[in-house]
Amino acid sequence: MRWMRLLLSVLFLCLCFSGCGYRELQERILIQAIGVDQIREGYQVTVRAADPGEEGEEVFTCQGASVLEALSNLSLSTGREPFYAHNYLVVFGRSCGEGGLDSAMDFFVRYYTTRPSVQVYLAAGEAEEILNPEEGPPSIETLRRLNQGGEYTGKAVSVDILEFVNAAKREGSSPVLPVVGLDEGRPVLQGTAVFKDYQLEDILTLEETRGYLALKGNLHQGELVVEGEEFGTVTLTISSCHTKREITFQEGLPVFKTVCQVTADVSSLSGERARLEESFIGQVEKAVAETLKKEMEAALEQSIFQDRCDIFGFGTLLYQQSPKQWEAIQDNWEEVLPQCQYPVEVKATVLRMEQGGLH
Amino acid sequence: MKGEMAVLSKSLEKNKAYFQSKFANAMDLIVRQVEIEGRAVALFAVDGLVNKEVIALTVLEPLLKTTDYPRSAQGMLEKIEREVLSAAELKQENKLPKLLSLLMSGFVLLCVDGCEEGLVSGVQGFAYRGPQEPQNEVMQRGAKDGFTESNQLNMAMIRRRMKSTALKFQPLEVGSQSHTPIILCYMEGIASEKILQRVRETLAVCPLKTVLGAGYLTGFLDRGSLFSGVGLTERPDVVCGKLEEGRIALLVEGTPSVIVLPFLFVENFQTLDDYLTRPFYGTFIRWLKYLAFFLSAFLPGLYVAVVVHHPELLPQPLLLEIARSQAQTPFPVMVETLTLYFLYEVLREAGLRAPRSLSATVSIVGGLVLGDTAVAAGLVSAPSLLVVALTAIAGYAIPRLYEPLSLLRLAFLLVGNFLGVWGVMAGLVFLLMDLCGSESFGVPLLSPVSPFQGKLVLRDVFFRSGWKRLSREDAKVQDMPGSHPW
Amino acid sequence: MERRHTISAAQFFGMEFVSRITITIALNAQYAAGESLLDGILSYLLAMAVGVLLALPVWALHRQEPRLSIGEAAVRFLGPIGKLIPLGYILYFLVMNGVSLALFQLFLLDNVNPVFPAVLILLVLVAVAVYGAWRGLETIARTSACVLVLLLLGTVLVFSLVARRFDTENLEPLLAGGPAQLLRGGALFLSRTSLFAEMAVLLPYVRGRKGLGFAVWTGSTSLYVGVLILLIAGCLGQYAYTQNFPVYALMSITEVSSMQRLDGVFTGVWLMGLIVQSACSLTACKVCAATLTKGKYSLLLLTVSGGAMVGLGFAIASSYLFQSVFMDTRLWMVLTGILGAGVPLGILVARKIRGERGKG
Repeated sequence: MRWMRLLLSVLFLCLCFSGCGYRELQERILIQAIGVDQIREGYQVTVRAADPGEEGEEVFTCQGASVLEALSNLSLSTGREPFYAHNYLVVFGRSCGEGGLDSAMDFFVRYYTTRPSVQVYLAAGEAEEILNPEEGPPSIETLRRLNQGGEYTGKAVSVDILEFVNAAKREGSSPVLPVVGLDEGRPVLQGTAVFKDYQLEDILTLEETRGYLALKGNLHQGELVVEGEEFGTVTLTISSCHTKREITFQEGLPVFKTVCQVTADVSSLSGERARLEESFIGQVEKAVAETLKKEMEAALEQSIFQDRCDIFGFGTLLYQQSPKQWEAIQDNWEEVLPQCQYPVEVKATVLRMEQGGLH
Repeated sequence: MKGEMAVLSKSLEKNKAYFQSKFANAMDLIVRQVEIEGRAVALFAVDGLVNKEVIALTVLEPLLKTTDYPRSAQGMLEKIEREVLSAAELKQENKLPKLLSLLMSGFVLLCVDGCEEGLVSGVQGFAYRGPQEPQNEVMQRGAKDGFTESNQLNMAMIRRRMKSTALKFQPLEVGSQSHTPIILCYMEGIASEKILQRVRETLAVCPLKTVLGAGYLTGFLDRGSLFSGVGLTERPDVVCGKLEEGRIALLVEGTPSVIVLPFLFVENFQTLDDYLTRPFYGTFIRWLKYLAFFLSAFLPGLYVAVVVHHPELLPQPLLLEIARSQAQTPFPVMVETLTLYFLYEVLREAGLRAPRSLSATVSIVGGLVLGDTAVAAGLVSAPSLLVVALTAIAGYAIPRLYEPLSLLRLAFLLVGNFLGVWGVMAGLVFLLMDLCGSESFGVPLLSPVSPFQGKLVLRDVFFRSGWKRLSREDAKVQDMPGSHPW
Repeated sequence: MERRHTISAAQFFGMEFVSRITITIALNAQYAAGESLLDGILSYLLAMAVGVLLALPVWALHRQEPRLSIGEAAVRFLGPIGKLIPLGYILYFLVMNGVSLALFQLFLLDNVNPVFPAVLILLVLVAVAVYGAWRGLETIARTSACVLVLLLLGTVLVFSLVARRFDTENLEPLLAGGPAQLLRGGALFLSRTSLFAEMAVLLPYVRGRKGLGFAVWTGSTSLYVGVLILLIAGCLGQYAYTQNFPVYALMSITEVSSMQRLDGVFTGVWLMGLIVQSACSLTACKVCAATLTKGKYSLLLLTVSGGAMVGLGFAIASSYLFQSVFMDTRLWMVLTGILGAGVPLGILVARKIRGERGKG
C-alpha cells in the first residue's frame, strides 16, 4: 500500500505543477458579436465585446489575411485572448457576400469554440456600420433579438450557421440570409439575401420573404393587410399557416405543388367601420388568399426563374421522395429548375364566431 | 505476575494487604473491618463510586445487628448471603481480577476471615448526568431524551422502548487499562449471528489500553473507507429502530454515543423525523438532503472548474457578473475560494470551542467582518463568498456527513482548478468506486442503490413510503442485495 | 479472483452498455455512415445481427466450460501454446482501449484545447480505472450501474432538448449511397466493441440469465444508437460531416432559456463511460494475467497495463503513423473476429479432439 500512496502523491504533485497560470475571466475578450468585411488585404473584423471592468461594452476593429488571423490580432492591441463561446451573432458585410461567403464562414464552422447556433446576417452595406454606426453602437440586446423580428412579423428569416451550411450542402439547395441595414442608426431587417454556392445572387423584399416563408411552411405569425371596396382596409393577424408540398410529374419534369392553409384573425379595421359584417368575411378570406399567393409567386419568380436558386428545398424534396428521378436531373438542376412548374394554392380561413342560433 | 494472588485467600489479612497494595497511592479505597462473633469481616469499596448510605443501611447495619452466626467461616458467609444482607444484587466471587473490576464499577466486597469466597453487592452511587436532548441530533417530533454516560441508564432507555425478550444485552470489556464495560445489544433471531460473532472477535483482539469514547472503537470496527461503515447515535429511539432491522448496538460506558453497525451510506440521509411526518413531506426532505449533499461536495469544485476552464457553460449574464467581480479582486478564483473555505472552517471550529459568552462575538466577527467587509474591501468576490456559504449551509443539512464532506470539498476544489470539469467527473467516479467497493460487515455500503433492488430503493431511499407499506415486510440489513456471509 | 465474487447478468451487460455508448459517442459520421447518415442505423442493425452469430462460439464454450475463462480454457485444451492466448487478449484490450483514449485525446485537442496537457486527463482517467479494477469486478459493476443512470438521465435531457431542432429536410433516403456503405458501417460498429472478448474472459464471473442480458444489450444499444443517429441526421444534417465529433456538435446546439450549451454534459458522460470501459478491460486483463502469474502481482500488472494504455493512446493521438495502423477498421475487424469468435471456436475444436482422444 505504501508505494501506492507514493504513486498517488507523485500524481497529485504532477497535477499541482501542471499549470498554475490559468487565464482569468477578465483576461479574455468576451466577444458577443462579430462583423466581417472583405477588404483588399483580406478581412476586417469588427467585434463587440462585454467589458468586465465596467458596465458597458467595447468595440474593436482589426484586420488580417483571414478571419481567424484578424480576430487573433485583437490580442495585439488588447493583450487579452478572444473568447468566442458567447458570441451571439455574425454579420457579414455585402463585400463578403459578393466575394463568396465560404472562405469567410469557414472559421465559424471549423473553429472549436464557435457554436453552430450562432445567428448569421448579411449587412446591406458594411458589417462595421451595423455593429458600430456613427450614431453610436446599438445595444447588444437589440442585436441579439433581431432574429426574433422575423418570427413576430413573418417577413424575415432567421438563419444560424448550422442552417446555412445545411442549406448550402443539401442536394440542389441554395441558402438564404436575413439582410440587416440601418435606419437612423438602428439596425433593421430589410429583406432576405439569396445565395448561389455561397455567392450573393439577389435580395428578396420583405413581402417576397413572407412568400418564401409560406412556401417553406415557416410562416407562423405576422400581420397581413388587405384592401377591398366592400370591406375597406382590414388588418389580420396570422395565427397559423400549414403548408403541404407534393410532387407529381408531367412530361418527365417534376411539378411542385404547394397548398397553403392559413388561418387569420381580424385585428383592426380602417375607415369608419365599427365592425366587419359577416357577409364580407368570405371576401376578406379571398383577399387574404390572393395576397399571400401573390407574395409566394413573387418569391418563386424572383428566386427560381430569375436567379435560378432553389431556396425552397424543391430539389431536396425530390431527392427524398424520388431519388431515382433526382439522380437523372441533379447535374443539370440549375437548367431544369425554371422549366418545372410550381402551382400554388392558398386557402384562407378568417376566425369568426358562429352566431346563427342566437339571432 | 509470578507469585501474585489470582483468587482470594482464606486469610483476611492477606486479602487486605493485596487490595491495599493494588490501591497504594490511590486514596479512594475504603476498607471497613468489623468483628462479628469473634471473626474478622472486612468491607472493601472505592470512594466516589458507591453510595455509602446504602452500604450502611443494607450491609453494615444488618451485618452488625444479626446474631447466631455459624461457627465456620463458610457457614457465616452463607448466612450473610441468605439471610442478613438486604441488597437487591448479591453474588459470590473469588477471582481477584474480576473483584478489582467490580470494585471499580461501584460494587462493595465483603470478605470473611477464613473464607476464600467474597460477597459482592452493587451499591453504585456515582454522580451522573440525567437524560437530556442530544445536541447533535435534534429532532422536531422525536423524543427529547438522549443517551447518557452510564450503561445502566442507557440499557434501561432501550428496554423501556423494546419490551421484548428477544432484546439481549451481552457484557464485554475492552481496554487493558481502562477495562471499559461494553454492552453488545441485539435482537435475537433478527440480528445476524455471523455479524455478532465478527464483532465479538474484533473487540476481543482490540489492542487499546484505554477506551474513553465510542470513537476509539470505530476505527477497529470500520473498514477504512472515506465514508464510515459504522454509525454513532445519541438517541435511544433511533437505536431501537435499527435493532429491529437486524443491526447491532454497542453501548460504551462513559460516552453517550452508541455505536450502531452495519451502517449503510443511505442511512446518513435518514433521520427519525422522516418517519414521523407525512410520507410526501418525508420524501421531499429526503431529496432535499440528496441535493444538499451534491451541493456541498461538488459546488466549490464545479464553480472553480467552470470559471477557470469552461466559462462557455455559464449563461452570459452570470458570466459577466462573475467576470466583473473577478476583475475587482486581486486573487485568482481558486485562491479566493480556498481561502474562504479555510476561513470558514476556522470560524466553525472557533464557534464550537469558544465559551458561550464569546459565541456572539465569534458570529459577529465571522459574519460581518469576514463576509461583508471582505467583499466591500474588494479582497474577495461576492460569488465566491456565496458559493462557500451555500456549500457550508448545505453541509449542515446532513450533519453525519460533515467530516467526509469537508475533505471531499477540498479535494474537488483542487481537482476542479487543475483539471476542470474532467477532473471533477473523474473524482466523482473515484468516489463512486470507493463507495461501491466498500462494505460494512459484509453488506455493501451503497446498498440498496448499488447493487440495485427496486423494491427497497422505492421503499425507503427514493421515496419514504408510508408506515402501512413499511410495516408490511421486514427489511433486515443482512438481507440487503449484495450481502455475503463470511 | 475467487469464484464467489460474481456479478449479475444485469450488472455485466449494463457495464457493456456503458462501454458501447462510450464508443458510439466518438463516432465520426464520415466513417460510420458515409454519404447518408440514416444508413448508419441499418449498419448498426446489421452489425448486431452479425454480432449474434459471432457470439455463438463464446456461448458454446461457456456452456461447455462454465467455470473457465478463455485463458484458463486455452491453457487446459491447447497445451503450452495456450499460454499465448491470454497474452493475446491482454494486447487486444490494450489496443481497443488505447484507441478509445486516443479518440478522447483527439477530441480534447480538437474541440476543447485545454490549457493543461491533455495527456494528464488520460492519466487521471486510467488511474481511476486502475483503482476500480484493483477493487474488483463487483466494484466496477456497481459503479457502472450508477454511471448508467447518470448517462441515461443526461441522454434523455439532451435528446429531448435537441429534438426541437429536428428538421425533416435534413434527412436523406435510405441506402441512397448503395449497399457498400452499409457493409462498411456495419463492419465499423461490429469491430469497435470488445464485448465478445470480454464475454469470453468474464462470463464465468457472471451469474443469472446471461442470454437474456445479451439480448437486452443488443436491443437497447440498437435503440440508443438508432435514436442518436436519427437525431444527428435530422438535427445536424450535412453539417455533421464538417465535424470530427458530430455527437459533440449535437450537444452544443441544445438550448433551453439561459442554458446555452450542454456539451459539458457530453464530456462528463464520455469521461465517466471511458473510466468504466477501461476499468472493465483492465479487469479482463487481470483475469487473463492471473492464468499466467497464478494471481500474483495483480496491482503491478494493472498499473503497467494502465500505463501501456495511456502510452498507446497518447502515441496514436500524436502520430499519424500510429493512427494509420491502429485506427484502421480492418485491424479492428481482424482482431475482434479472431479473439471474439476464432479463438473460442478453436478451443471448442481442441476440446472435442481431446475428448475423443480420451475416449479412444
